[in-house]
Amino acid sequence: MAPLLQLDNLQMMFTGGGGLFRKKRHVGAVAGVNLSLDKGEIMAVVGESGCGKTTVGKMIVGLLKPTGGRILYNGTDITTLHGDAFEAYRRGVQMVHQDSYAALNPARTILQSLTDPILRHGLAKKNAEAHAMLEDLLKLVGLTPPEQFLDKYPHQLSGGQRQRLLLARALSLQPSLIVADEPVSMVDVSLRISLLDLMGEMNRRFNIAFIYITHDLATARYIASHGRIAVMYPGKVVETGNLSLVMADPRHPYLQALLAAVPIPDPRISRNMGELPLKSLEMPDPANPPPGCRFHPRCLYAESICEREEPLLAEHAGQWVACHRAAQIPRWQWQSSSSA
Amino acid sequence: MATSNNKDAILQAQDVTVDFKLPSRTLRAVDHVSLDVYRGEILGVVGESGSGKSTLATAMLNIVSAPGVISSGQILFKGQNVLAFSDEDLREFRWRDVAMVFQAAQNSLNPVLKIKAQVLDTAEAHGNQSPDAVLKKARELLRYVRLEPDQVLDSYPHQLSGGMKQRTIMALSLLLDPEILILDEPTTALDVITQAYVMNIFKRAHIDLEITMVFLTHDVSIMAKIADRIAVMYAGQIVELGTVDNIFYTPFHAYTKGLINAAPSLTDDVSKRRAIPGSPPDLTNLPEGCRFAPRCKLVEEGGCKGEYKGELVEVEPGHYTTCVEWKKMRGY
Amino acid sequence: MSAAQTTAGVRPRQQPGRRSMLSIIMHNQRAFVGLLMLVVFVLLAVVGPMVVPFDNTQHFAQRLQGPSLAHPFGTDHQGKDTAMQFVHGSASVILLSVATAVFTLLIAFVVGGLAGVAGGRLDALLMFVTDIILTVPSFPIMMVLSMAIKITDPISFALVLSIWSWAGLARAIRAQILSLKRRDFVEASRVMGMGLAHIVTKEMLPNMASYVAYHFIMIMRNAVTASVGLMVLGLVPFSTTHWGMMLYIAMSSTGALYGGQAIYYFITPVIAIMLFQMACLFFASGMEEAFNPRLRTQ
Repeated sequence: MAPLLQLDNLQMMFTGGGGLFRKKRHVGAVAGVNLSLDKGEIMAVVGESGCGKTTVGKMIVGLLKPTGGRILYNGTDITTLHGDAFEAYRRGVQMVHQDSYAALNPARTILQSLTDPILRHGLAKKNAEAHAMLEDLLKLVGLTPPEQFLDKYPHQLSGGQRQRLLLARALSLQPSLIVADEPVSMVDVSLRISLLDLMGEMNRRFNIAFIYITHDLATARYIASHGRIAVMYPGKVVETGNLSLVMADPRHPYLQALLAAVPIPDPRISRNMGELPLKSLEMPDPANPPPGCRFHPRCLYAESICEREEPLLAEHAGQWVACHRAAQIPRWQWQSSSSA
Repeated sequence: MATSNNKDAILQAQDVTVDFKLPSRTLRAVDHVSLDVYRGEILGVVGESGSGKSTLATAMLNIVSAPGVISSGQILFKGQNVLAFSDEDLREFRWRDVAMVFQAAQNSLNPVLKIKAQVLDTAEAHGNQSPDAVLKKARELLRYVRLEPDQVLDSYPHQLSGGMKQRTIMALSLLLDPEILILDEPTTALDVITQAYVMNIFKRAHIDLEITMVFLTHDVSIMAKIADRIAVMYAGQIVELGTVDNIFYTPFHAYTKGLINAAPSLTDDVSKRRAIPGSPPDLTNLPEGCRFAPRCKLVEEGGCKGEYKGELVEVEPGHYTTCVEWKKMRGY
Repeated sequence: MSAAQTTAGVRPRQQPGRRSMLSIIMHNQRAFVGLLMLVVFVLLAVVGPMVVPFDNTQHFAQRLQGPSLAHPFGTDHQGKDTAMQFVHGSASVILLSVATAVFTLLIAFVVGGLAGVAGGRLDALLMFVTDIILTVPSFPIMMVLSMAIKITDPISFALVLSIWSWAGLARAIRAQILSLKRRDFVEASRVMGMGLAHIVTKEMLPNMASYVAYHFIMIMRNAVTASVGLMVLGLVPFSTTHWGMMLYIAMSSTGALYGGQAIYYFITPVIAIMLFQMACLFFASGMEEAFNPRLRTQ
């Protein structure tokens, strides 16, 4: 059975700048990404800002057209879809934004904003039907009583409530895949888990696949603990596989650095951690990436081959790592937390 | 209140209240808060939206933005009341004695000036030093935060990355050798690797330059690495205050415990994470008594009636809480 | 609204960030006064002519009288009641300014909207044309047009006035659309498969309502100014009661500027125009606070 979503050597090249006296800049935001996602699967796409994860997300939902490679939805290239098939894709793939305030129209009530798409796609024929659907939907995401929320404007609700609304909106079209781009980063820490639990529940109950885009490894681990992970470094995927396996035995030096950088809420452990295993702080310029492996200028383990040849994803102990020296990188030492 | 005789409290907030007068009602952002900052320590103030921590910080520098007013209390810097300072004294106090780095400070760099110009402007506004001396110092500080001085000085803000801007601001804040540095969410907008770097730099600056630091954040995990003491704020009040070990290993307030439990970590059993139920406090509609009661597990299980005595009780040396049923927190 | 959202104790959320236009007007003194004045003028224009009969008979014996009970604003050089002319003129003025505003807005919307939504070459072409119109001063063009075209009624006059005034607004509307296009909620609509028509009318327009209202009023004001200017120059002699016309006649036929009782025939339209402009400006400045919260003083 074809996977739900397949990214085949996906590329996105932005050209900008350029004028009378300046050369145009070609920015390879996404430079060859291969991923596949099955129905009902959760995948966390992790990376820092500028690595292209948001761009990949936007290409998957159809906001940006790839400059190279293909996106296959249920086996078909989305750029070749027309008519009903396109409609199915349009409904099937939805998005949850990071900034819940910006993602809702400030001049319209929640009811107005959420009713239109339902009617447009024929999921309800009349306003009353849509209203009833929305009430159920709001209850589903934990916004009860629903009447209290439908007549409000976005600015009258809290961040956490708005984020639940974004999820409700995405769910209203009964999608098969939801792309969530940093959905909890602007929400209070104490509420993040409840939102993530909600998404997990939607995944289990309705078999909706999730692509969870974030730079926060801890939340990625929480939501995709039974799923997969893809770690991105400017434009490319450097490590991917089953999340629990990857986290237990991270192979790529960049991932190890990321793990070292995540703050641990345990003073005894975090105060004894040394410097990060990185040679420098600066991310490569996407318009001018380093030759060979893009990570080599910052890598503690780089050797001459790393400067010449770009490593491809290769299998190592059940995961896929793009590193020439994957077998020789020291294993990551996990420090277990002594507190509950 | 939270003072002890053998420590030197360099900055003290005493019974400070900040009210925001809105057209239809008054919002109390900071409610009779007293807090001491000891010389040479790193104090972390942890709180989420509605906690009032940012407002408290602006009150300490007497720059609460309108329509907020400080309705009660005083801010003592080395014994003198900052709120009674003349404009002249205030200017000297700000940035020279106490520097504050705001949230998303990268946006406070003037986009049309090169960094060099801004450095000189800042120095000029606060006293007479020769431009050469100022730049020499600036170069030193930039090197300290691991930036290339000449490259940065000659750039416009948009030519620097977010992490670089944050470190530049940090260097700028140290330009006049302040005694206290207040940082409001200094790393929120940064990637996790940059954040780790920046936190390391803060730690080194603290040791090398002997600066007292006050960190405000909503992410309690960051504090584990560098804070000496932590104050936890909720709905405009301090609910718990103690050393970093106290807070992380033996918290005595349900909110503190909830915060630590609610943060997903890399190592813990995923199933042990618990969200804090309910939603953040509505500052215009606060419950009587303990403000955390609507969300408190102890209250829910009948272990507490939700009273609030209005004071921090010392449960062990240097560790204070406002929870009246703190004894029941053990083993929780 | 960004990272600050998660931590600041107080945010604009406590004071509604977006209020409906009506509530903004109610809360803003200046806008309210302006609106009130405009309503008075409109009532005057609509109800006035029904109450005060149009009396064009000449009573030379009563010419150039000062204010009295029978003639609250005095009489003109032909003995006609000034107040009556004022009332009937207001109808002409209001009709003219509203019509001009409607035409100008329509053209600006079509041009600016197309340019903003379509982008690319159409955008470049439309902006090229717009820029040309912007750079050529509008008043001389209107002068030429009014000499060339025979204007006999307020509607055609409105067309002439609007032909050269839409350029600035078109650019402004295009800018608004371009900025709205990039907002997350518009992106979300696209992801949900909402069509272009929906996005423009239901997502973008409501966010431009206050902006549009502001410009509508300002165009009305400019229309009055321009029409008065043209009439004072004697270029559009089609109505005798329009305030601009009153001014023209007052200056040319009654020697009002040289003193004497004729001054009342001169002053009346001047004050009327002044008051109308004030009303527009008050209302507009109040509306300005609506889409620029930083101007709010409360």
